[in-house]
Amino acid sequence: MYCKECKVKIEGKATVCPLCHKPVKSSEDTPAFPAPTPRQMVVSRYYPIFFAVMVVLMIPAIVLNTLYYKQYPWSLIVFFLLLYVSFFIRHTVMTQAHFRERLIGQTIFLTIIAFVVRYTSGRFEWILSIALPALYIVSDMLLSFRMVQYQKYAAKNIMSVYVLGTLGLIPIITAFACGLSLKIPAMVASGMWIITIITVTIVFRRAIISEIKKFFHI
Amino acid sequence: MEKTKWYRMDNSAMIYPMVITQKTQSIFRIGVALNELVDGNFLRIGLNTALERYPFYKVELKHGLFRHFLDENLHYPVVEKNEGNLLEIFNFRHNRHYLFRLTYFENKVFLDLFHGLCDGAGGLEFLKTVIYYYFKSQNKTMPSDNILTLSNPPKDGETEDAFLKYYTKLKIREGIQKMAGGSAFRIPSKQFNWEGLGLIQLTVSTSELLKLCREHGCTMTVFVSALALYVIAKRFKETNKKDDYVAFIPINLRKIFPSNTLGNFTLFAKCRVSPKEELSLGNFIKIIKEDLGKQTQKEDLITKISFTSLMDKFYLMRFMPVFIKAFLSRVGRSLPGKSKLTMIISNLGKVDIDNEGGKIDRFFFNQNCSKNAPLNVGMVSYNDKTVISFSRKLIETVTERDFATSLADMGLEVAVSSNFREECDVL
Repeated sequence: MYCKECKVKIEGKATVCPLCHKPVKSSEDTPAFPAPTPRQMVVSRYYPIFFAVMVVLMIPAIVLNTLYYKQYPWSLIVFFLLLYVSFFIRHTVMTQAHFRERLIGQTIFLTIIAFVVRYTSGRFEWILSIALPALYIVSDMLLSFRMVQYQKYAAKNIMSVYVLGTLGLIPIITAFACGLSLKIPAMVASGMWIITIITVTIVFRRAIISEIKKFFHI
Repeated sequence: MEKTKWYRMDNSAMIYPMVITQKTQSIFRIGVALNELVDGNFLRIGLNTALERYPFYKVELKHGLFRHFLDENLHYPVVEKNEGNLLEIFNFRHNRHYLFRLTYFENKVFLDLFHGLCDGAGGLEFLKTVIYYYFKSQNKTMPSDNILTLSNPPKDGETEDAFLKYYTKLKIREGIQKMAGGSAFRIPSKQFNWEGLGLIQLTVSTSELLKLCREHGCTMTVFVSALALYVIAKRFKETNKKDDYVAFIPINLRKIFPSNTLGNFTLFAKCRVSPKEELSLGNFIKIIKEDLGKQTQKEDLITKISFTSLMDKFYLMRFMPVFIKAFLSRVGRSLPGKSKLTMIISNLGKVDIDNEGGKIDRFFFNQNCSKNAPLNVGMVSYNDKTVISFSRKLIETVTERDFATSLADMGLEVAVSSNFREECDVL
């Protein structure tokens, strides 16, 4: 194929000259490059949509909250739940982060939700005495299973164990600081994390030193 | 349990991970067109074998407290068919957190690399090894001359920060003067709304092009840069009387300062032509040749190298947490200001591998583009074919057309191929 207008030979399947866009007779079957499939970035629309949904749901929630159950600011719970949904979509489902990072994010956010629900409602003590420890037991088990399942990559999860392990003390601190009547689940959850940290420290001692060097290198 | 290997990031590469956004990443593509259809399975084997030779590339990006680093990636990389968009941003999760992406289409292999990992020269070495092991896995012979294979194991120098190696003390003011540049002319044209760059690839005979360059008394890089700026200047001679035409030309410092590094060791020369200059190709060649000659003086480059290494020498910068550095870098990048360049013109030079049996047709090199540098050129020569690739964010293709017809008018046979990206947007 040759474009007389541009004085160039055209390679690959083409119906027009790539330079002047005048029609040419194609003699090749395969294009030189795969056809582009341009996509608009999903994230560019995400936050405006989320903000709109937030406004649409929050305005009636606040209005209804001021009319009914004034003593109980449940619209704040709606607000945090919406934030959580957004966080779940954006930073757990759509993210490119590792499993451990998503697990830490979820644990922290659900902890915040637990405290918000407990202290805005003034009720549901079980959220702190049972649900919160359960959350930390589940996160401990998930991370531990992950490390056992993918032993080759286990060393990569060390920092996450320490981060979650430190957070794992939250249930027991809460149980005593808030004077919860049921303390055993909290003791089990925090105890599990302490055992996990000790085990990981013994098994991965060499890798831990390396991880510290990496993290603090200048 | 074994600890994983990790590598410190080059000083010059530090900026790239800091300015990653959902829309922009600093990526470039080196590709090779074979004389046969590419087999994805053998390519996967070739890549995995090549990675044993390149542990420095078998990494993922991590951030420490003070700086990013490259940590050993224990997963196998993904090799898949190309989906079409040129230099689409990396989906790191899909890509198993590798800092490169290997794809193929018909007879072409595309290697997209994140600039935080390496520069064009490093990436080209890697691609050569991948192709070598691709053929080897099919029991096809290919000479290993000038290819880093497993028979010559990795050397320490391959992971060195070459900028630090050649650092000398400098006066900061002097460094700023050398690195700073004024505003430049930017092609005023409508840009693509959606992702995916446009690509027009011109293929000419290397020997014919070299003959032409010799007639003009210049190198291929100078000739192509001058011609590209000349066609732009000619087109906008009536409308632009103020802004200089500026070509950023990357210089492979390995040729001047010996280093085996496979990371980044490149600096830009900024060649500037005023719109008030006489509008002739000969004059543009003369100006760019002089400008490039001055900027590739060893003393000049040492100042720039040392300035680039300052991040490592300033204690305030070293001990600043990485998220603050990233925040400051992003703020700096987002500040409004005039464009500093008209285009980037990068020449990877001649690929020095033996083409026994004629298995390889050509190599090509595609630059990334941004809003401020919407049209860039990458070129590479092999097998008497020089491929000049124009990648662009612009819908129009006038500059490429003027460039190609100018070459044709000078007696060169020009072959053109395109990804027809413009057809996806309204012309």
